[in-house]
Amino acid sequence: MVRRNIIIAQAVFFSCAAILILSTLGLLLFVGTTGLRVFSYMHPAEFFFGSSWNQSSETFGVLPLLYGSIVSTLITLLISGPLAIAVAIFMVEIAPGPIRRVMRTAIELFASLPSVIYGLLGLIIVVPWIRTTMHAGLGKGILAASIVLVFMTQPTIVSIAEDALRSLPNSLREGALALGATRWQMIWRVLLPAARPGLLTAVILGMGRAIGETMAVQMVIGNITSRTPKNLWTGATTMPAAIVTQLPEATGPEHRAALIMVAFLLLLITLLLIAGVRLATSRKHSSRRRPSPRSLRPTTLPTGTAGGGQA
Amino acid sequence: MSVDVQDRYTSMDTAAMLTPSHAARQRARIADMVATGVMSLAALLLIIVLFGVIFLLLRAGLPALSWTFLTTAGSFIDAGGGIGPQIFVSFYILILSLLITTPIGVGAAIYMSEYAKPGWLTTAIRFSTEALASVPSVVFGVFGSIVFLGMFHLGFSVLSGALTLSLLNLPLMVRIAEDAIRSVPESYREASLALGGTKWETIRKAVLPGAVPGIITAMVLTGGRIIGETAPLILTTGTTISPNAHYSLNPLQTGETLAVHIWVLKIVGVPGLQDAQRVADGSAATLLLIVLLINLIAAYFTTRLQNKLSGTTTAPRAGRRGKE
Repeated sequence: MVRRNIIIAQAVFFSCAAILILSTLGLLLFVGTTGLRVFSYMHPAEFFFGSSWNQSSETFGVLPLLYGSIVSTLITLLISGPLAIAVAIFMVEIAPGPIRRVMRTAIELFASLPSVIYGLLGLIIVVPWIRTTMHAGLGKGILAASIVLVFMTQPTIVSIAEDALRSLPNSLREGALALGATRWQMIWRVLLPAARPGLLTAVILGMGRAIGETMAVQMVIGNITSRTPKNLWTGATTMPAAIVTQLPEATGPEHRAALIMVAFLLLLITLLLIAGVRLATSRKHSSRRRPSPRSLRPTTLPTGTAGGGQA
Repeated sequence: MSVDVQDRYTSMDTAAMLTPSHAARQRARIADMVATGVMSLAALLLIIVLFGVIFLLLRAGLPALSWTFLTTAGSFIDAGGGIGPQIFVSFYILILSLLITTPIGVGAAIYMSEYAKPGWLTTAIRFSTEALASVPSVVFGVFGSIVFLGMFHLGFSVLSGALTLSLLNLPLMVRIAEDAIRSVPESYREASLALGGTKWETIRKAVLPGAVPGIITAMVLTGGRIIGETAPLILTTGTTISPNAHYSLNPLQTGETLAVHIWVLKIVGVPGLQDAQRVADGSAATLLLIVLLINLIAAYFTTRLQNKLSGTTTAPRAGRRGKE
């Protein structure tokens, strides 16, 4: 009787864990097979190299979506990476205890703001600002999306970069300072190179967050899918924004399959990024048990990192 | 890395390094000051933006808040409607989804911390958890729309949305619950086993009670995400509430959460609603206040957890367990 209970308990717990594997496989399988159906309607070249996504003429070329996603993510990372790493350095090396705690609370709050709220702020502040400074029609576009994304990716990058810097042995700092280095020389020449794998992980996960962010981007980018935009302040789109805008009202099976194929691409990109993180972290620190990149202690856990919070 | 530094310096003239010129020192000191300034400014910028954002949203939204606003339904004809049904749907989905995620997540966490042995299966579970955690939420929405709407014919419904969000939040739940379970001191398990407890009895009576604050933290944080989630819900729950089904407990009704409502008001537009701006501002302030409250609750449980953990080494264990 007791023996049976033990076996049942183990079986139940194992099936809970198995659901995780099944969900991952299910995502790949169902999104993949449904998405790949698009190629029964059109040639893959037409899909991957088509420069127009137009539901009324039923041409579904993915380039405008890819272009928006890639450009907005790159601009975001160019600003967000250095900014977040500067903040992380400030928190680890410069700020005294109480200020550090304030910063950490602020970062946690940033992480927990829902993405519609970010989108709303983008609409209220960023879009009008671009409209007046660029004299652009609506002000919605890739630039607006990138500015919003810079702030949305801060919690992810800051908290992981902070962990990376904090986990460096103190002997590095002491050694550099003993050689007569100033604090900045110590940070720039010793700490940053030593923390490179961790900082790289932080930026890659920030990238995952930027590329998958849906609502905040959808609200400020203008959602023009028919062409690649001429400049950063005319209407554009990204992969997730196109999905959430068009899927609820996609009636044609071809349109629906094309959008699901875009979701499949997004899924593959995310898995590639995760593999990239594994690569970045496994080369060094392979000896000690690496805390999985986002398994931060509950105290510092940002409520929405790469996968999270992005609605 | 220290090797790197050494190389850099031994390659230089040692005498010059030991006695850097006055000008070089001056330059280094100025660079240090500038860099410190820049990094402090970056941090200050984030703080200013955060408080600016909260201030702006509350200033726009607080005037709209009132008991009637929070409890009445929106009107399509007159101004003055509220967001009662949307708040109801938000919390209904929150509860349904937590009811699914919590047992599965805690079960998986128990497996990973108490049973799993190193091997390909454990690696596969770990990788799945990591991968699921970084899949964009809109992809979960697409998955939900294929599986729950297309295959199970649940339609756009509260249930489809809750199921989709349960999958979405599973990795977060597993991760925090596993941390909590792992942080229960090994001596608890040893004591229980020494008293003749079976593994299952040990988990149920010794490990789980110690992990409760951590599990509650996980539920609260997951709840915060569910309240703000939008994209998957647009694809699975829908963007409307049927006028004759306000506050309906039927999980097969379509629904619209508070977060989705903000998006609908600002982007899609509700034809005929005259005071969409006021309702959107009020909704945003409400959502923000709910999220801040949830953060506060999570912080409370995290502190309790930390006190408990640091307490176990000093406080007499029997006394602490008596209070549970």
